[in-house]
Amino acid sequence: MSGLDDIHVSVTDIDESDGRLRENVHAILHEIETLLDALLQTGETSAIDIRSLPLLPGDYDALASALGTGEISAEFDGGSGPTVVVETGTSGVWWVTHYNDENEIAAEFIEVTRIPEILMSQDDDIQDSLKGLRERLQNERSH
Amino acid sequence: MKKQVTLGEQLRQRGISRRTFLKLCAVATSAMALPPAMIPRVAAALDKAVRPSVIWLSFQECTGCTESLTRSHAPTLESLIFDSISLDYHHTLQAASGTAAEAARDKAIKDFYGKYLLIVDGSIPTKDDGVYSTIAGRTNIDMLKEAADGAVAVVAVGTCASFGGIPYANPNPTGAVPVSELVTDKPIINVSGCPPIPVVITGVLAHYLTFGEIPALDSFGRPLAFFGESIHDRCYRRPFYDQGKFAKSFDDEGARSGWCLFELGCKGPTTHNACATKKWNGGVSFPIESGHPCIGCSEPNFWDGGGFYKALSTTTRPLANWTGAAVVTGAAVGAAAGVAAKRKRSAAKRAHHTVTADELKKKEEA
Ligand code: SF4
Repeated sequence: MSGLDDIHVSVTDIDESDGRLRENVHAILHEIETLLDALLQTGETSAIDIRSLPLLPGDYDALASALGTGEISAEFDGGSGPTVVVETGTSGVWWVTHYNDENEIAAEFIEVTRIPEILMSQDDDIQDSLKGLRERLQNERSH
Repeated sequence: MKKQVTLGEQLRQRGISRRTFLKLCAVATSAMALPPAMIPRVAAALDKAVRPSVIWLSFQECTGCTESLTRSHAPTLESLIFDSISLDYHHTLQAASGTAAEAARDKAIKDFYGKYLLIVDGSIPTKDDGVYSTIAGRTNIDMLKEAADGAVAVVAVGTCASFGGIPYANPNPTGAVPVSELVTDKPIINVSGCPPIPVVITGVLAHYLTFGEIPALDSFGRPLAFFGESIHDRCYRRPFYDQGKFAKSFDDEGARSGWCLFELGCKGPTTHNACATKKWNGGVSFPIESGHPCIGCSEPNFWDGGGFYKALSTTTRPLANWTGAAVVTGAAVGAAAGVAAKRKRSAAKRAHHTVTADELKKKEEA
């Protein structure tokens, strides 16, 4: 990779004044502000598909650092690649990254919610477990 | 043939939890370029979806479209084939070859007649009765017509199948035509691009699988979800365009500062595609982000557009509405081009200038 490193490219910020938020990040934070307000007022949850945003090189990292890191992170892998759910430093805002089974990012969302639905136990799965548990108890009784 | 189980049942049988199913639905929704609020609807639809049979025919093409498809990461081709569609014939990807391969196609056409989705990549040569491209001794024209007869819809993957592409370029020695010239009685979805973005190919297939119908299309038959906006509309260099900051050569200060590539020939303003948001190689980058102007590969006649490094002469009006009269110079307006002239695409051609190889060379040397 040394060849590539020899080519000096510096991307200047569209917003050249130092210390201020990048334009895209600013716009997304505004949207999040509206969504957070709605969550508090009406309980309405929402999500932003990060892959649908025309992000500038560097915007992604800037957005992540603007939102910060919160207290909770969780990971699961049900056989189709891991999903990583992280609470950002902005309470009520979660960063959800779905990987495929080759560990590439398949989809990525910012969710505005008290807890992302994907972390909750799902009725279908609870039913299956209940059935399994009952069968086990049944078997033990007949022994 | 297995009996028709729904996708939901199939995943449950394989021990996939509801939670993971919801994850797959979130990925599919993003791949279809639908808003996240649609995830519950996508989940409800995918639960009941039945794997459609898919027949894929490759004609006058470079296999770039298939290469692109195999690099889809969301969903991956593997998960698409194993979970979601039944790819019953694809001569590059299937194990069978020779007469067995031909028999597989005949069988799929017979078994799923009236129900399968036909995917085509490559243009179809029509000159001299189509002798310039044959498979197992049969012309592409013949094979396309037979397979299209029993299809519910045809997906033309790539610019060659959608608009003729490179084989169709001046002087079009094989009389190449796009699918829409030969198939006139079936819905056609044009997924253009040279090649198309991998997740756009799988996204269109996912849409059909999920909703059982073809997506909303633009005037060139392309899915609006991916081709509804121009590259220029969504380009992150757009603020520089608006400020009049242009790179004038590939190594000047402007280029190094990431300014707009319009004057280096960027076709972003007249090109509709999802590169600026979906990007390439798993979302890493796209040509403009890598410092190269857009060459307009998802538009009709992009190859004859007057040179990749020649600045668009005027305006950012979309090609479809163009009524300008810059005349097509240069020699052969072949038989196929004659047919096409009747169609909307000819407007796109008029919007471009043609250029000779000499001029190009001069330009490069300059
Ligand atoms: S002309 Fe090209 S580089 Fe410039 S803003 Fe438009 S799409 Fe981006």
